[in-house]
Amino acid sequence: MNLKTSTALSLARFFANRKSLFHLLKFYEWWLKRKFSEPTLPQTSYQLTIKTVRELYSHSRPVIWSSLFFPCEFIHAIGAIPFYPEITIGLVAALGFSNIPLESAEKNWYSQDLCSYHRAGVGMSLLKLFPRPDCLVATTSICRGTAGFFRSLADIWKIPCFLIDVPYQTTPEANNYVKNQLSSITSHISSQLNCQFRWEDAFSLSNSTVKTIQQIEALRKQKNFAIQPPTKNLDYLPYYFQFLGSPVSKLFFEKFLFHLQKLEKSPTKFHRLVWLHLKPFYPNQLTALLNEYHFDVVYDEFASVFWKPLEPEKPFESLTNKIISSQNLTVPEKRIDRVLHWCDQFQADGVIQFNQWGCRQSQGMNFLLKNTLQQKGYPVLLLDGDHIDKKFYSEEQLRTRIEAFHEMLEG
Amino acid sequence: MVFVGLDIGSQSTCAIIINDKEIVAHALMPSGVNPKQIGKETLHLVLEKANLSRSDVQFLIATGYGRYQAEADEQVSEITCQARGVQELIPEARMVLDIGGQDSKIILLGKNGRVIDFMMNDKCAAGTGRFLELMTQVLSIQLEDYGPLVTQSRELIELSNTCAIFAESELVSLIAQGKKKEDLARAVCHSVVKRVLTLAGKISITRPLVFTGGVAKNQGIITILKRELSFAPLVPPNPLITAALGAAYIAREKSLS
Repeated sequence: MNLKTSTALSLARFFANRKSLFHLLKFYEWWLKRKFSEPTLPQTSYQLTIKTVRELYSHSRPVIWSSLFFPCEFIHAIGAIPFYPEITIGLVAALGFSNIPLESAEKNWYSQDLCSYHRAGVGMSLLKLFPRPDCLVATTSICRGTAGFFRSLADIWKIPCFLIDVPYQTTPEANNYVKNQLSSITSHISSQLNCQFRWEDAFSLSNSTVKTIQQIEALRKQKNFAIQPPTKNLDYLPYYFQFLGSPVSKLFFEKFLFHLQKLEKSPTKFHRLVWLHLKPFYPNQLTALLNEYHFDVVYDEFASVFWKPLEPEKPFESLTNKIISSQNLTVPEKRIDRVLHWCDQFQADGVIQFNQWGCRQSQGMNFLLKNTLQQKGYPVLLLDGDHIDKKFYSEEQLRTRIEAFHEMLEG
Repeated sequence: MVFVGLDIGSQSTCAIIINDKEIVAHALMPSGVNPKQIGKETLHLVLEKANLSRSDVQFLIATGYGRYQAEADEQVSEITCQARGVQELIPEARMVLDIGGQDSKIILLGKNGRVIDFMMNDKCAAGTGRFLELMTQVLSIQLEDYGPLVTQSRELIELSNTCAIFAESELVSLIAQGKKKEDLARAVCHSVVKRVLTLAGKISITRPLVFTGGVAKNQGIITILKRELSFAPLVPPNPLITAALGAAYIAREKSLS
């Protein structure tokens, strides 16, 4: 690490640990609101990000870190601020400095073969650049590596980690097993943070937001319009995971629906794609290439609503259902059935999966996935790379594959 | 009027001129480090051979890694061009195995040379022509020596490393152990074949299989490929020109449509 990077890191760490400084962001938020009285969708997203950064780093409420498929309604119900390191590391990559936490983790014996979301999350924690958590909650769904990742985080931050072990089966015994764990961590967290869980508001906001998402899905079935502009994970990911069950997510999706309703059907012929897994977060040419070759992502796997409406009178049953149903992403026959259903519903012309280096959950079933989809007439392109670590990115190789896939679809 | 296919690859650049009946001329040059310049030079050379000028060219399609550097009417990926070129030379082909200087590809063909599926190697040079070239330096041999050396080999040595750089270190260790040059040359060819057949296995190997690219001229690789496949791959008379040929035919189709 050179002197310049080292000084920048020290400064960043100094500021990250000065809670009062982040209160000053309120003035910036006020100025943004004044300047953009009718903000566009990206501007809304930007303002929400600034507000979240202020809340997290000023520690205005307890901060609970969570794994991606732990239902955030749980965290909103206790009035804490959810923080999803796997999403935020995407922001770090988008800002172009994921190499710093990755190097930090590697220097501390975290192997390059580990998922880069986890490696970089550990690195940001070792560097103490992420907002300090009060406690950690995680599930083993959909990735078993999450257990090790969160145990490492607990060790770094010296705080408790509540881990829910999720079975692959969807039997009544499996439901009870998860429900009992949820009930147990609820009482632990409640006493630790000295807060009460209020399910009504969080569940009601989540359910009504899901209704808006379903309206968006209905429109995406008809129109050539992806969750963009541009097709970036960060434009939607936090609102499906981190903020669902809060007014933030509801506001975002209502704006998005409004934006989509106004759009005219494009006269250009697009190839409609179902996108599996996520896309690289670091600055790259993927979106530009998809646009250049007239691909339109009409459905994203990680933007799917896979759970039943949440019932405040049965909080643990509802959240258990949400947690267990997320496992469908890891069970080959269930995942493939769902992909086929989306292909049919969204009139897809093909499917692309961007494989994440070291991700067993998505890649383990590649053979089955590709064969089944191809037999049903859906061409599949599997792109190998990494979403966070730019070392695995080659623009020319990506272009050739996208271009050839386009030519293949054109026949 | 004529149609041109220009393939700017990592190792060699090829230009082919066709008219509405046949191949008029072709030219092949080493690529060097300036794809734009070499594209121009190869085009100039092929036009000179055919006694034509640039204005006689009705449509030019560029392919290969340097395709966006060329002054072409359109660019088409090397996958589609390979498929089209092979279909023109060997219409019954159902799979193309192309090993070039910088990458290797497997293309599954449908009717009329249509690409049904394809796979490409990852970022590592192992399994490409570049790997074979690098190993000649370690073994102090020429590229054309692989063929005779492989046939002389009596001991099967497997290179355990799939990375080109680590494989080189492994080869150095094997030399230090006193292993014979012919067995090491076979080990190198074997590792390339193993790598590309794993790639082909992802799609499932389909006959008739056509072998193209610069490496298809390497007799060592062909010998091992035959052994591993248990059948002989079909190799066009000039396996280096198939992508450019495909590009020329696509140029003609585009021009006439």
